[in-house]
Amino acid sequence: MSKPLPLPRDWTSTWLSLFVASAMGFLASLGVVVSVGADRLADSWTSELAARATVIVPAPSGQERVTPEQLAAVVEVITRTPGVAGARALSQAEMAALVSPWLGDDEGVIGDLPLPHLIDVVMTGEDPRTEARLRQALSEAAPLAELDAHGRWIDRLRPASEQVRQLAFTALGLVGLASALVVALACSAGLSAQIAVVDVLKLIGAQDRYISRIFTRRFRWLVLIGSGIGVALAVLMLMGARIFGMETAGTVESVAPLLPTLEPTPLLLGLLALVPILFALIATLAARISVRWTLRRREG
Amino acid sequence: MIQFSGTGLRYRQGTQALRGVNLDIEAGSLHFLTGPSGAGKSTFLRLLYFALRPTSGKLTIFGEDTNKISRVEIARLRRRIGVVFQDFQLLDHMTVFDNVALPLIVAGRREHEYRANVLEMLEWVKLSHKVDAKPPFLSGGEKQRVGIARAMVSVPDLILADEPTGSVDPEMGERIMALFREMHRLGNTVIIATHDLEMVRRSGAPVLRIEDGTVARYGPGGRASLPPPPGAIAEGATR
Ligand SMILES: Nc1ncnc2c1ncn2[C@@H]1O[C@H](COP(=O)(O)OP(=O)(O)O)[C@@H](O)[C@H]1O
Ligand SMILES: [Mg+2]
Repeated sequence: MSKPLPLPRDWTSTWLSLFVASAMGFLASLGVVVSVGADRLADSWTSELAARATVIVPAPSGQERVTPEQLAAVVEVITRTPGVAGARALSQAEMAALVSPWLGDDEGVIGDLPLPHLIDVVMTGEDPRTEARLRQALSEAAPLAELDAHGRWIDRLRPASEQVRQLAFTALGLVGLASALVVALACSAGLSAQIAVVDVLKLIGAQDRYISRIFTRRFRWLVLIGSGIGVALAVLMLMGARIFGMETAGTVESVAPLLPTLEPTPLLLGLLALVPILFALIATLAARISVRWTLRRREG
Repeated sequence: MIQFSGTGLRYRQGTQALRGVNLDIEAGSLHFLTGPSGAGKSTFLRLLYFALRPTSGKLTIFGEDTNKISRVEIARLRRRIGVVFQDFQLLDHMTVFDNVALPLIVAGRREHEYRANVLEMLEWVKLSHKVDAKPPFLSGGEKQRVGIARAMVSVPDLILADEPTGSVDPEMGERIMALFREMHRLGNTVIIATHDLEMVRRSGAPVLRIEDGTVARYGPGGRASLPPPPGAIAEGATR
C-alpha cells in the first residue's frame, strides 16, 4: 500500500464513535464481570455444597441429650467411611450462633433446649458413592442419625445459577449486537458526511475495497480506543467498589462466601482485554458492510 | 476504441439528452465536442467515464460493453481515463500536490515514484507556487488547472475534458491546449468539450457536434465539411 489517504476531519462521527464505543465497552466489561462472577458463584455454591454434608444426631428416646461419648462414636463412624475427609461436631457456641436469628443470643435458653447435635462432614470430592456409604454406615451404627447430603439444595441451585449465567451471557450478546449496529450507523453517518470525497475517489478509479479500507481503518481505531477507555473506566470503578465494600460494612463479611469475588484473576483480566479487540473486530466488520452498502446504493 | 451504436440516454427526470448516437472514435484521435449549452456535451462525456449507463442502444469502450461491465472493471478502466470535470471535483482537505497525485495514490503508487511527475505537471499549468495550497483558497482558474494536471498526470489512454478552458485567460488556454496536443502526440485519445469555436477552428481537429440529442462528425478541420454556419454553432443560437 502507498501512503494512507487522509480523510477530512469529521468531529461529529469521531466523537459519536468514541463515546458510543466507550459506553459499550463499559457495559460489556460489566457484562463480563457479572458473567464470570455468576459462573464462579454457581461453581462455588455447588462444589461447596456438594463436598459437604450434615449429619443430624437427635437425642435417643428417653434421654435428655446425646452424650459426648455417643456423639464421638458417630463422628468416628463417619470419619472411617471411605470418601470422607473429616467430620466435626459443632460446638455449643456454634449451635447457638446458628439458631440465634430465631432464638436470640441467650445461651441459657439454648442450653435448655433439646437441640439435636450437628456434625459437619467434609468429603474428599463430589462422589455419589460416598453418600451411599455414609448412609449405610450410619444406619448400622446410629439408626437415629440423619444424613442431610445437600443434594436437594444443589438440585435447586443448579438451575438458578444456570439462569444467572444465561442472563449474563444474553446481556453480553445484546451489548455486542447493539454496539455493532451503532458503529455501523456512525460509520454510515460519517460516510454520508464525506460522500463528496467518496464520489471523487470513485471517479478517479478507486475500487470499493480501497474506499472501504480508508473508512474501516478510521472506525477500527476509534472503536478500539473508545472501548479501551470504557473497559478501563469499568475496571477502575469495580476496584473502587470492592475496596469500598470491604472497608465499611462488617455485614459483608458474613455473606462474602456467597458473593462473586472480583479478584483480578488472569481469566477475568484476559476476558476484559479481549473486549476492545472484539469491539474493534465488530467495528471493522460493521464499517465494511456499511461502506459497501452505501457505495452500491449510490450507483444503482 | 469507442463505439456508439444506437446509443441513447434518458435522465430519470425524463430529459432525453442523447438519442440514437452512432459513432466510432478511433484510438489516438483528438476531437472537439461542441454544441449549444444544454445540448448534451457533459452527458456524452459522462457516458464515457461510466458515470452514466446508456438507457438504450449500446456503448463499447476499450472493447467493454458498458451495459455488462462490473463495478470492479469500471474502477480498473477509469484508471486509464483522465477526466477534467466541468466542476473540477477536487478534494478540499488535501493539498494541490496530493490532489494532482490522487490517481496515482489510488492506483497504489508511492510518492517517490510520482513526485517528479506531479511537480512537472504543476509547472506546466503554472501552479508550482501553490503546491501546498488547498482548493478552497484557489481561484476558479487555478482549480481548473489543478483538475487538468490531475487528469493528465498518469498519462491516461483516454482524456476527456469538459470545458477545460472555461475559467482561464486566453494565454493559459493556449498553454492548456498545447498540453492536450502533447497528450495526443504521445498516442493518447483526447476528447475536449468546448464552446470556444475560435479555439476549435484554430486547432483544425475534427469536431463532434451535438444537436437535438444526436452527434455528427465534421472535419478534420477541412472547409469542405465545416463550417456549420457560425451562427448555428454559437452558444445558444439554435434554441
Ligand atoms: N443530472 C441530470 N438530471 C436530469 N437532467 C439532466 C442532468 N444533467 C443534465 N441534464 C439535462 O440533459 C441535457 C443535456 O445536459 P448537458 O449534458 O449538461 O449539456 P451540456 O454539457 O452540453 O451543456 C440538458 O437538457 C440538461 O438539462
Ligand atoms: Mg456541460
